[in-house]
Parts: sequence; C-alpha cells; structure tokens
Amino acid sequence: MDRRRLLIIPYALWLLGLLAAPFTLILIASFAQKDDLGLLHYGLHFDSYAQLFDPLYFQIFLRTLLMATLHSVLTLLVAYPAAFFLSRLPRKEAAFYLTLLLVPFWTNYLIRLLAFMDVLRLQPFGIEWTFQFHGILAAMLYNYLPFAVLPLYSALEKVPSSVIEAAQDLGASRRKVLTKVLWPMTRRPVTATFLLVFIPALGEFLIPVLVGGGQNFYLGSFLQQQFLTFRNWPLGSAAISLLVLLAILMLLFSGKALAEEEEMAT
Amino acid sequence: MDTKGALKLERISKTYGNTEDAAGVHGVDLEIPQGEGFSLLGPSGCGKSTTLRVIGGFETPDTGKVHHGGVDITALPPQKRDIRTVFQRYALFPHLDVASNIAFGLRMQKRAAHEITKSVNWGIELLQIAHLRNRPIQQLSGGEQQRVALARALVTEPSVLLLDEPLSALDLKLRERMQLELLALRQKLGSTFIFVTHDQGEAMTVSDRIAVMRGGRIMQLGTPEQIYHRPANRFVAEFIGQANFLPQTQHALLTGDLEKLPKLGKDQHWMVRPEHFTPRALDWKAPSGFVGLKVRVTEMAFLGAERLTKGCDASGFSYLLKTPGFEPWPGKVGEEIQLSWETEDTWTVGAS
Repeated sequence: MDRRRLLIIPYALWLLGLLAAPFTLILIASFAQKDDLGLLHYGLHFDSYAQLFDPLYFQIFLRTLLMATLHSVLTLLVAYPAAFFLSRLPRKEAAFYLTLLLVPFWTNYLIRLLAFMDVLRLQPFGIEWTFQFHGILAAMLYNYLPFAVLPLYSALEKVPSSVIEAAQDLGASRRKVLTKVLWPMTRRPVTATFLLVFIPALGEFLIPVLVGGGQNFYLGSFLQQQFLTFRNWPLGSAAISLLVLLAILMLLFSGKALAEEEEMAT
Repeated sequence: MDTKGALKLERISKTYGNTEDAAGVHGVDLEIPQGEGFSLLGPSGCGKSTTLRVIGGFETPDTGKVHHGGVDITALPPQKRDIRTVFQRYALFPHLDVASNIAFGLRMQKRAAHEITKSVNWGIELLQIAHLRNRPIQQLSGGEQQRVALARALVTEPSVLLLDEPLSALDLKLRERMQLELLALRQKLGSTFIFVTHDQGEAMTVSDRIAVMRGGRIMQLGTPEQIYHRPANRFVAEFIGQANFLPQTQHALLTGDLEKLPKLGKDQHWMVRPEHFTPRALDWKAPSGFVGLKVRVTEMAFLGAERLTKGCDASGFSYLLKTPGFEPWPGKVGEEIQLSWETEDTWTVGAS
C-alpha cells in the first residue's frame, strides 16, 4: 500500500469520531420519539420531520434562510471590491492589510460581539440598530467579512493585472472589465465563498440572540431551545438533519453547476 | 475623429518614488511616423516599458505630452486611444476560447455580429490559426498564444500596435520566425509597430529605427546601421553587438596609415567591430587607409557561420576577431598573426 495514505489517518479519525459519529446519533435521534419526561424511544418515526413543516416552525426556517441569503450577498458585495483592491497591491502591502483585517479576530468572539453592540448602540448613521433585522445583518457582516475577503483575495490575486489592462486596452469599460473578465474568471471561488459564509450563517446563534434581542427566532436559538429548554431532542435533531441536507444539496448543486459550465467552456 | 498618424512624445517624465520594479523616465522626446517599425531597446530598468505604458495609456506621465495624429492624447484612457498593446505574457482571457478572445475588442466596440465574424475570420487567417479557432487558451503553446494575442489586437485595426517583449517567452527558432512574420505583418497592414525589447538582434530585425535607452533616458536614436556603426557612446556600442575598444596607449603598437586614424579626445577610445578585423601574415605591410597590429592567438571558437578568435598584443591588451566560418582559422593558439582594419571602420566613443 502507498504509505502516504497513512498521513490521512489522524484527520480521518478526527472526522469519524467528532463529526460522523455524533451526526449519526443525531440522525438516529431525529427518527425517535420522546415521552413526557424527555426520554427517547428509538424507532423510525417521522413525527419530528412532520412537525418541522408546521407553519410555526417552518417560518423560522424561512426567516433563517432569508437572513443567511441577504447576509451572504451583502458580505460578498463588500468583500469582493475590498479583495480586488488588496489583490492589486504589492504582496507585502496586501499582507499588512490582511493582517489588520484579522487582528480583531484575536479577540474572543463574545467580547468582540459585545463591543460591536456597543458601537451599534451609538446609533451610527442616526438609525436604531440593536434589536433590528438590519442590526443582525451588520453584525453578521462584521463577523464574516474576513472569511470572505481572504479566499476572494487569493482568487483575485491570480488574475494578472495585464489581463485587466488588456481588456481595457480592447475597449472594455470598468463595468465590462468586471462583468466580462473578473467575474467569469472568479465565478468558482465566489461561489465557494458564498457557501463559506452562507452555511455557517444558517446555524448562527449568538448574533440573532444578542443583536436581534431574541424577538424573532432563528434556527440557532430554536435548536438551543429544543435541546436545552424543551428537551425535545427528536425535533432539534430533525431540524439539524434538514439543515445538513440543505447544505449538502447546495454543495452538490454548486459543484455540479460549475463542472457543467467548465465542460461547456472546453 | 481621425487619430491615424504620427506619434509624438514631448519631454515625457514619470517617476515612481520608491517602487523597486518600475523604472522611471526622464524627459523622453520621440517622434514616430505612421507605419514605422520602432524599438525601445535597453537593459531592464532603463524605462523602455514605462515609455510604452505611457503611449498605451496605462501610465499618466508626471510631465510632458503624448500626441497621436496631431491630437493630444496624454489624458485619454487606453480605451479611447487608437493604440493596442500586446502584453509580454499575452494576457489572454483564460475563460474564453481563441475565437472569443479575438472577438473581445470588437464586441466591446459593439460591432454588428456579422462584422465581428468577418473580422475574426480575417484575424484568424492573418495569423494562420484557423485550426485553433475553438480551442481553450489553456491548451495553447506559447507561440500559439502569441498569435492569438496579435490577432486579438490587430482585428480592431489600430493605427499603432505596442509590443512589450513580444517574443521573450518563445524559443530561439520560433522567435526568429516570428520576427520575420511581424515584419511582414507590419508591411502588409501599414500600422506603426513599437517594440520594447532587451534583445538587440530582435530590435535590429524588426525596426526601421531604434531608441537605445538607459536610466530613463534615450542614449541614441537612429537606424540599426547608425546605431551599430556609429554608436553615440561606449554603452550603446557594447549593448549593440560586440566591440573592441582601443585606448590611446595602444597607439605605439600600431603600424600603417596612422595619420588617418581619428584623433582621440580625453577618455575616448577607438572602437572597432570584431568583423572589421582581417587576419594577415606577419610580413604584411599596411597600405594607405589600413592599420596593422601584431597579436598572439589565445582562444578560438567555431560557431558555424563565423569563427571567433581572441588575441593578445605585446602589452597584454586583448582583441576579439570575427571571421566567416567558411574561411580557415587565422592561426593556431599561441601563434602570432597580424590584425588589420581600415581606418574608416574606426569609430571613436566616449567613456559612457
């Protein structure tokens, strides 16, 4: 056997023990039933899944999807130009700015979020931010921006300046350079980055609770409540399973769409 | 607006502060008539690429003006100039196939579909790349990419084409072939071709005139013959081909028609190209208009078309001699021979 394959063992064990195994348990729990004491009775019951489609719960799903979508679009809209700016700088200078971008992330997540909420309480631009939907989006943007800028920077950095100049030389306006050259050349990493900020946003817990004030339920708080308050493990597990299914479908779909596009190009 | 016509650079200066990889230019004046083949030649950092980028519109000069066809285009962006650039690494669009790359400029000009097809076909024919038409860029060799980049620029029928080290990524054989093809293309289209190159052979092949640059300034501007035979200074003489530089101190060792040798000023040298030396027998007497010098052969190399021989005179000063490959060796290593040259092939150059 190729001995290099042994190198994957630590990681495989990690995945198996901390991802595959717990998720299997969740999957099993999602098909279980709970009694009034919260004890699980295993079996193949679809009650919890059916319950999720109750409008009461389903609207949480929809709200979370809406929030995650708006958040991801917004984050890309801010991150893409920033990453482009950085990608045109000399490497050393870009590294300096990227470090600045990451410095706040050496602070604990909760402390950082509480500090950001203090900023929001100052009512920037003269509007109320805390306990508002747009406040959630602002905090999400703040928190996820570096995760979007970094991969976009590394994608855009691979676009030689001469290719952009060639497009301009051939008569492309700034807008055309973006739509006809930059965007098609970076579509794949942009899609990957979208998923990178979209999927975690689906399960985001702290921001909707703290910034949103918990008035509107998002999936994160819903899960927390099902597991810790109502001890309804089957319903919580069903919600998680549906979420994971959604994430997998999106990954597959985006992968397939990109592969097809690639095939058409060749 | 008709911008076809001559290109004129007036006192162009551009400096970059401390940026290490871009060399500035200082007061460059140039006039290039429509249809000329022109080369900016010099070592890296001499400002030749910066000059080209100023003409292309990618850099705005700190001072000075660029005129094209009598119109001041200094402030125009590249899109608004009737000038196209072929970039050093071709800068093709990796997400488009060959035909779409060539059509890009035409699409940006919003030409009609049938016109685009016609022009693309013309470009594909011109560069003989019909077999590559639907290939993705990633599958092209360097030479093929070069042709696509040329076609992409030429289908928009620019009056001036700028070529930044266009052949530097190609191997020698292909490079020599492309040099001749570029020459033919220019003559066929009547466009001005401005090359940036550090390769003197390339510059001499493709250009009517050459500007030799150093340190952001033009050292000499002239035809390849002028620059080769009448270099303005030692730098130009050494950059274009090989040369022997004889100081005044060697005068005592020379025999023959010394009166006709040009007089040397302070810090000046006589310059003799290696092919202007003729090997002679030791008892050969230099007639009127010739000079002779005894040397001992120290090294020899046969290059096919020519032979290189190195010799050393009585004072230890060494000389390079280039003779046609079909002639026998002028002597064996260690033998004494006489070098001669015509006084009118002697040129004087200053120290720098």
